Amino acid sequence: MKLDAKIPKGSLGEKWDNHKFNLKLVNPANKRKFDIIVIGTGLAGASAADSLAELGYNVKVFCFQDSARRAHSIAAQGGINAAKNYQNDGDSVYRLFYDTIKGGDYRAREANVYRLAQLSSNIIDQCVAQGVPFTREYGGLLDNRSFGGAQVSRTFYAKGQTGQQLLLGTYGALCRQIELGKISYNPYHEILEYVLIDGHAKGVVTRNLLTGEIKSHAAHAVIIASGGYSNVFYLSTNAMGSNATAAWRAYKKGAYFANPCFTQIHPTCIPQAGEAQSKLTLMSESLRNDGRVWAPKSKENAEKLRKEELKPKDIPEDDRDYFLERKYPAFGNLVPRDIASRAVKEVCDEGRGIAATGLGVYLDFSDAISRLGTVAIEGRYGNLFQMYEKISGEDPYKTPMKIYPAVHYTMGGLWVDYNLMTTVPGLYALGEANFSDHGANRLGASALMQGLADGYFVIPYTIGDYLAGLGFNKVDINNPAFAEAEKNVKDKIEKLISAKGQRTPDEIHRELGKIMWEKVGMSRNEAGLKEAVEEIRRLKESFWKDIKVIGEKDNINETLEKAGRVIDFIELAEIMAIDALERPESCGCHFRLESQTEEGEAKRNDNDFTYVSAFSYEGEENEPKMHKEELKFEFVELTQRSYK
Amino acid sequence: MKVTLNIWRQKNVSSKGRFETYEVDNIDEHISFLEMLDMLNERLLKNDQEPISFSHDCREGICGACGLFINGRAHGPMRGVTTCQLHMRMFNDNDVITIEPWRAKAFPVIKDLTVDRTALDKIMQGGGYVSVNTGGVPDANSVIIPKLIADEAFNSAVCIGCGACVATCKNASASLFTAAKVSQLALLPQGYPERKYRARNMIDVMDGLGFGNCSNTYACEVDCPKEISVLNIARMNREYLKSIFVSLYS
Amino acid sequence: MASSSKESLKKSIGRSVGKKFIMAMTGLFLLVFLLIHLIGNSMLIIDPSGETFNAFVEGMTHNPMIRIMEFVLLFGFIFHIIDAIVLKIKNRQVRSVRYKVYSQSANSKFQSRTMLFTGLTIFSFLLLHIYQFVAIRRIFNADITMFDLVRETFKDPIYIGIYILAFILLSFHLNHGFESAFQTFGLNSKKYTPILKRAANIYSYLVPAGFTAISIFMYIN
Repeated sequence: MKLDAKIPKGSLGEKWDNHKFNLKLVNPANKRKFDIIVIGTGLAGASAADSLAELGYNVKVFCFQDSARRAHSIAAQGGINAAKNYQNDGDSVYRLFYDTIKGGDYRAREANVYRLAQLSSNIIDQCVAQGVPFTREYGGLLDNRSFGGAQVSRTFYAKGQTGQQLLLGTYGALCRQIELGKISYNPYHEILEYVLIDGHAKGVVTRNLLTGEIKSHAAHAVIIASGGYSNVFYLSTNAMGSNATAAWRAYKKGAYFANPCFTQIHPTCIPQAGEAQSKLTLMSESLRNDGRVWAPKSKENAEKLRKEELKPKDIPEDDRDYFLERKYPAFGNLVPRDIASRAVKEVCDEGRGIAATGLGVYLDFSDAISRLGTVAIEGRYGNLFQMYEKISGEDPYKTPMKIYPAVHYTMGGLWVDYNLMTTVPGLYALGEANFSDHGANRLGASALMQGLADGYFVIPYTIGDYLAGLGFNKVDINNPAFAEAEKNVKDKIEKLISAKGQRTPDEIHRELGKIMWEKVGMSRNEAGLKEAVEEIRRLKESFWKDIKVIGEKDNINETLEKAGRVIDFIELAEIMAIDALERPESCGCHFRLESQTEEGEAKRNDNDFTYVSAFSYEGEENEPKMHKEELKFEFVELTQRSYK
Repeated sequence: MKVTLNIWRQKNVSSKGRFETYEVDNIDEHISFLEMLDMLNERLLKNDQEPISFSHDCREGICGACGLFINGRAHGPMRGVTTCQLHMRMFNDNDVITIEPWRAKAFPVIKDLTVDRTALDKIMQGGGYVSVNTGGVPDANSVIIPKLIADEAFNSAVCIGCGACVATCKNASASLFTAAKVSQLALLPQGYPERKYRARNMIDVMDGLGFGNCSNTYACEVDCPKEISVLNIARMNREYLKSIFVSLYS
Repeated sequence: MASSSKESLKKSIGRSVGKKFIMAMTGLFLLVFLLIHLIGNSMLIIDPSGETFNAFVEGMTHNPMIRIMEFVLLFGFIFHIIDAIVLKIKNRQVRSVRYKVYSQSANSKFQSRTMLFTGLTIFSFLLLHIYQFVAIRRIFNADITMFDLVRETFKDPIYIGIYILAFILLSFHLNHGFESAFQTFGLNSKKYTPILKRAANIYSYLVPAGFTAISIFMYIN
């Protein structure tokens, strides 16, 4: 199948307007004749659900959590970008577009990114109208800050809890539609299968996580907004429950999976404390504005610091290596996430890492504190310092923070066209679940923007175009396709619950995480990736005889849920490794050791790799097939990023 | 370190529960309380015993999924933290720790330590929002809100919906939860058009779900992981009485 | 969010917050009564001969306004107590299984958790009190002046003990009740709460202390 992104014609500024005009409309009176399923209640899912319900569609929402408000969008700290130019500092839609496409290292579609920048302003208006308490200036206007190295202040924020406030805003809108009877709300439900009739998505099969009930739900269209797949790595900043199952089962029903190897690793997370560690906690990027990153120059000192024979303050200034400032004098500690992460890893690989595991470097505020005073630092980072102290038991005012990179966001996801439709007609993917806007690297404060743009302002228009061509018949739930899908789900659950292995889902998941982190992590090479593919395949094969699940299938059973998600992670990991292997260039977060400049920086190969790789499922026995969507850059010139 | 745990085990909603005692040894003091339970669960699973069910998700104190009643306190002995932010270094070697689920009629125990908190969603559906549709809204800066008011609204809006206030209240009252939302929207101009009904509607739902009456013990404020002030409850009461006695639109 | 703007008073005060409002209103009314009662009692100290006190009692007995207020007071008590019991019944039903370990002292004050206990104990004392100082004269028509009655009653150290105990419990009850009423009225705020708290403390310590001091004074004299 040839991938057609359906990019509208015209100049960048005209594309979305032209497209909106050309899209077919559903008459207001007819909207209630259509049923739409939304999977996931994060920013993308909830905003799509409530916008569609407001238009009059019948919406059925599912989330695996006990409440829609728990979706992991809630954990986003920093902020949300918008090209409002409220600060009069030269921002514009075009500049936001340009920064985003350049930040993504030219591996995203121009048209999508431009639309995102155009819609960014509407999002802020919408959220303010919902009563989202953004941080304000003394004059009562909205405050902005510069974020993630951007040269303009375009980031709107609600202290350090922007994701939470935005999510609660859209959750409120969701609650309103539930109360009005336009949304059927189903928490504690997991999507385990999609139902296709004549090649079109017509429903899903769910498992009620409380009762174990397997049930079919029919609809005219299905929207996947189930988030990213960072938890393939076992340890990530994602929530424990974040999983790839909804997206992965769509892949197995014919939706292509795009750029799976593009995963973002965030430099400032609290290092792993030991084997029992279950997840990693992000410390906001803003800390690098005042904190200086360093490691000891000598391995001997590092060794002593690890054993706590020395304290960081015992290391004299001359024996410290402020490696970001040394390597990137222009940007210093503020280099983009991917660059900072790799530099930290290099230092630790040299044996100069600190923390008990040797996987950590210092983020030191002592200079800033002596320059600005404790009060000023507390004003800027008080809540973050407090959070760090709660987790680590160390006071960052007195001793430097320890940080290490962690997997944070996945730019890859289900392939979608300009309408956000996957390769399966009637099946849409929104937010982090799709691949569309961030290319090979996502800039700070643009994940929230993309999720809400997709849900509030893109899908309400584009889904009508599809529905208008369908006719008004209800989808027949008695169609044998539903029974068949239900049977597949039940068989798989039976197979899991009757497995007689000796390894817990977490044990297998940890092993997968280790392979991925070491070989498909921050820097990758051909030999390692080949090994990774082999190891993942072995893990996939042995899964069914190793896995141990106990308990009942008709009650809450976290082990059963986890086991089902782990096998999906393993299968997804395979195409991540293959994708990384088949892209021998470095771009954004994807760093191939074979492709670097003399100074050790990422080197793109625009002649051969300016495309989106999209994988199709070809059956259990066959290897997935890679398809290419060529990226055409008509409006921006491709340049090499430099932060020296 | 080593701890002895008394944990509530209950098969499902309809069955009777009981306490079981477990010992967990070789605990690194730097791991979190929930990771200690993970360790126990791994061991139980290995020994063909069913792991203990408990809610958790983000493990960084923001999603509101976790919530255990630890030694008689919601989210344990530390102020201003969720259960997932508790670390073992806050306990002593050989401690005996009693872990119970949130207990409230409105939060039925589904299994072991997991409770059903959909009642909180229902309160929000009663009016915890501003009735605006997507699109057609004014420019964000067309409404000017004094910083102090916006900050105060934010302080009310930080509720994570964990239910600790209900769990710790001797009357299992959901007043702090409800009041936090009523308060946020009462402070902001966006909430003004519906303020007359909001408090009433949300209180109606709250009363109907089996939560108790607030008797101003203020335990909720102390055990709230986000330290939301009981002044919000006063504000909700004020909103309510105003809607009854003062005609906002005559 | 649609809703009718008009609703019956019954519905308005039937909600949890409405019931609390009744509780606070009657409570505040009783606080005022208590203060007037203390002023009356203080005559015992101001004029140890008892003449002023007796005159005050006579005046009160024959004042039609006061007689009406007696009924209002009676209803105040009844509403306060019935409302408390109604609220308590609901609050007793909120947990089918109780906590095994419940460290309430770590997050709330003793007096806030024992309102029904202190209230009912004070109520039993009140019955005794009414019997001794109202019923004896009015129902059994004992021919004795109020001052003599008081003097006789306060000769008994056991009664003094019960009296003081009742006022200690009343102090707890008032301490929470006073502050709580303002919370229920929605008058607490960052600005006024510290002042209200101080007022609650002053009232709840001074008023019972006043009653107690007078009783001791009577005993010693």
